[in-house]
Amino acid sequence: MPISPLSKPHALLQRLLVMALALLGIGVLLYGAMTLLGADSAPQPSGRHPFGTGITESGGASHGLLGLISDWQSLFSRQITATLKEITHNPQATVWLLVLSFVYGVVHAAGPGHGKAVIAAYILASERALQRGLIMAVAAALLQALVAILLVTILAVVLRVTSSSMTLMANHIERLSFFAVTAVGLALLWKKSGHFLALLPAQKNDTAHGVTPSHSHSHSHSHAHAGDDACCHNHAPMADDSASMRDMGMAVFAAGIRPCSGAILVLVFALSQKMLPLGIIAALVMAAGTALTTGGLATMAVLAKNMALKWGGGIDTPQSALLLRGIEILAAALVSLLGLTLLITAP
Amino acid sequence: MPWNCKKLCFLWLIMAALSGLITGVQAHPHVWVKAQSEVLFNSEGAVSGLRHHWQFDVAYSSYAVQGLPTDKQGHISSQTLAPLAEENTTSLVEFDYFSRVRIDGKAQAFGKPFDYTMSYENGFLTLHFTLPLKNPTKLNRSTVFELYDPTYFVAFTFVEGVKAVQVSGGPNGCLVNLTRPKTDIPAGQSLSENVFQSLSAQSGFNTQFTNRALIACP
Repeated sequence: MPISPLSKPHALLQRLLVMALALLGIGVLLYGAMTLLGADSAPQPSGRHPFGTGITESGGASHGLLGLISDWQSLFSRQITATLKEITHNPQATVWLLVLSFVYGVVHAAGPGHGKAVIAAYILASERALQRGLIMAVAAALLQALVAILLVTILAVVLRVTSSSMTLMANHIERLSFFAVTAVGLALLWKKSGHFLALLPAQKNDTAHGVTPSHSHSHSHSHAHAGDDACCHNHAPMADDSASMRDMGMAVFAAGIRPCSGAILVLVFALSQKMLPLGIIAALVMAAGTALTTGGLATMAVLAKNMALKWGGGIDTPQSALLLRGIEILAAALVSLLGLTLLITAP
Repeated sequence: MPWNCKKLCFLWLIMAALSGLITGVQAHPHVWVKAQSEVLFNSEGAVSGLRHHWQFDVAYSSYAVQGLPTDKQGHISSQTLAPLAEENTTSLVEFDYFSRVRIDGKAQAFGKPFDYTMSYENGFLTLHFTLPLKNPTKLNRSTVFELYDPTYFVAFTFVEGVKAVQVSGGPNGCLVNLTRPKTDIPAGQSLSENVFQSLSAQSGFNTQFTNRALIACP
């Protein structure tokens, strides 16, 4: 793509501006949505919670739909510990444990830290088929369970550390996940801003080749083909699959590396009752429930996107291409904002 | 795009929709504490502080004591627990010890806690500590003491009965009026229909998680 030497810094600024606007826009949207759903806006104290397990999951809702979900989650998580105890003298309770763990995984995924945003946004923003999204949801949930299992097994069983060491370790892993989420979000946002900008000159005049620097690898390849009729068959498969596998892997890593606090507590408790294998199974079943919710959300996201496109007048119009890129940019901005917020507010 | 399993997708969507926002910021309590407190009066008849006894739930108790040496019966000595007690108590400062005291309507500040110990009995870990007021204050009308975690990571509940909050060293005839949070899920509840009963009773849309003690003395 021919790029004039003078336009390069200008293009960079344009791109950064688009990114900033997207972040601002999604921030405003999120705030409105949260207020409607009953999220508490009371200021939260900073610093690590003294009775935490290193994973920050705080902010109970006091009213609204989220308050209801909160109550249910509490109920299920306490039942899980009670059931583990019951199994010592009533092995049939194992079935109930599995049911509880599954439902807990489903409902608990509503809380922070279960990779919903990253995976849903990634799928939304990257034209991957829905199947990929579902695979990613399962992989991320599985990774979460594995991290919790490994954390407890290595630290508690092998190294026999105290709770403060485990809390510290979990905290480090959590911080790593926040970096990963931010990195995935910003990389996606960067890419998508480029796509968005590439479309704009095509709307105004006939030269479809925008002044965006060809930063994205495979995307720019498919763009060059579709550029002239400015429709960009965006559902074309990636030209370069290895890069996309790496991207998917990063997204799964970002979504899944942060273990769930509830799973850690259940695992440690199971260990204390000399039932660690059962605890491990419970954690995996929880992951199944989480995968269901996250996958469901990814499905919703893709369906919403397709619906929006249909309303926009079908896939093959310039407007829909713009709309598509707009949605994708907002999705990427969402993940970026999420990651940044987590990084900034993490104790 | 697997449109062929429409019904499955629909059910899936319902479940996903039920789990709320993409960036759902709400979580639920992970730690449950049964609390018992004393309101301390000094020799001049002024409120001088609080003495807390916080019993943690069995899951958190297991988490907290992992890696600590136990004797043959599974007991852990208070000396072994001492560092944990100190760590936990001193880290409470950023959360204002989850306590609020208002004397005659005026909010009181706390000093540094002391006399902190932990005990481990039957799988339950209990933290005991004294929380002094920065300035001991006499009360004319009433003292309000509130115990709660604003982040709702910990669900505090006063223990059952009137002895949950007691007056220590104060004048005779003090009256204590207790309010507990509405969402009180009993600990260690075993499998029974109570689960389903509590499910329906629990679904209150308004969750109040503040424990409040109103103390009036002659």
